[in-house]
Amino acid sequence: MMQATDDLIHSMAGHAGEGGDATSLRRFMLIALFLSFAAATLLVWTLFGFRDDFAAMTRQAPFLFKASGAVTLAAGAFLLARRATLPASGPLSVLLLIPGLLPFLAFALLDPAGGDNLSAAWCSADIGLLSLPALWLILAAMKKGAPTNPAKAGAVAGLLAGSLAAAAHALACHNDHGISVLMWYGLAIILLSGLGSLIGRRVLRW
Amino acid sequence: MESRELLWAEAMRAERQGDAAAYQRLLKEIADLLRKLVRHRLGQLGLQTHEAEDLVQEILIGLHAKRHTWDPDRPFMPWLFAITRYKFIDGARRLRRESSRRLDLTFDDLAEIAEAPPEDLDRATLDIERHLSALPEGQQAVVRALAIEGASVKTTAGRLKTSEGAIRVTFHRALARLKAAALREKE
Repeated sequence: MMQATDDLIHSMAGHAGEGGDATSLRRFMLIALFLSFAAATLLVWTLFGFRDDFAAMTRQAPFLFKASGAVTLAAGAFLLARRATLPASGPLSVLLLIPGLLPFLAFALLDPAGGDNLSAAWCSADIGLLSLPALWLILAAMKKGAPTNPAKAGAVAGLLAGSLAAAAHALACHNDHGISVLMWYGLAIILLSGLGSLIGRRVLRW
Repeated sequence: MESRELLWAEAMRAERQGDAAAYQRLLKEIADLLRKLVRHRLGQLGLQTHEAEDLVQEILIGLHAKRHTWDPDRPFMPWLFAITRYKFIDGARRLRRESSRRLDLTFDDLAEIAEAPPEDLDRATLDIERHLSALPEGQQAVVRALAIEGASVKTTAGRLKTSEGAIRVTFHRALARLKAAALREKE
């Protein structure tokens, strides 16, 4: 048995210098990030079309809250995703997500009247749909790393995909009420995180 | 501990430069450490320690395949232990599954495995050889003696200089392992 281990070690040593370093993994993650956002934006454009008042919208508070929240959330999730693929590179601290939550919370507090329109529930379904290519790309990139907790890593992937989809969705979204955005965007991202966790548990094993 | 961290991190850097000798030395030293760790932990969990070497190999393969995820600017030992923990939990879960199968084996199952009439003798012999060669040496010797040569437990015990009880235990373990291997192949 120990002989077999020695043979194994010998054959692995023959591949010294061929493993590369984490640069290519980081590059993959970055490419997946941009492709994910591009795919979600393209889907928004083809499926729903950007808002008619696009130029005016980008200067108004609701869009700025939605976009800044989703992008910041995605940035935090991206840092967590990178961490999840590199063993012993630090805890998956939820604190990194707080900056991204602040714009959504602020929006909900400043505009407490909204939230009565149930049609905004479609936002959740739309974001879920938009995030699927992103989820696939991100999981594929994470597989190049070594996630030591596949379920958690998958949850982070879902979170990232959901945040990117939410950012893209803001370009088409007519839901301009704080509470309702917090609720439906939040619901979509939480569900995607759960889905990512379920998928990650299977596909991120190595 | 401090110097091991430095030495092993140095060897990992040498590996990136293609230094096969340094890498081989490093893997051997890691294997020695893992052997102790894995045996100890398996014992604590109440699992068979004779599977330890398999687990050590799985951890080494994981380390080798994912060595690019170690950042040379970070300490090596925490990375090594994160990989080890992950592969160990994975392997221990598998062992536990296999050991629950082991309990399901009735004596009839064992008899069937040992005496199944081969339909195609040549292929069956090849299969037996292939599966046997995957067993630890001690188990191989016992299975060969009992199931292939048809020796009695008593003579086998005498030949291998051990007790009859030990022979029976080894035989049961070997058969359970063979069955697990066969089941894995079917899946």
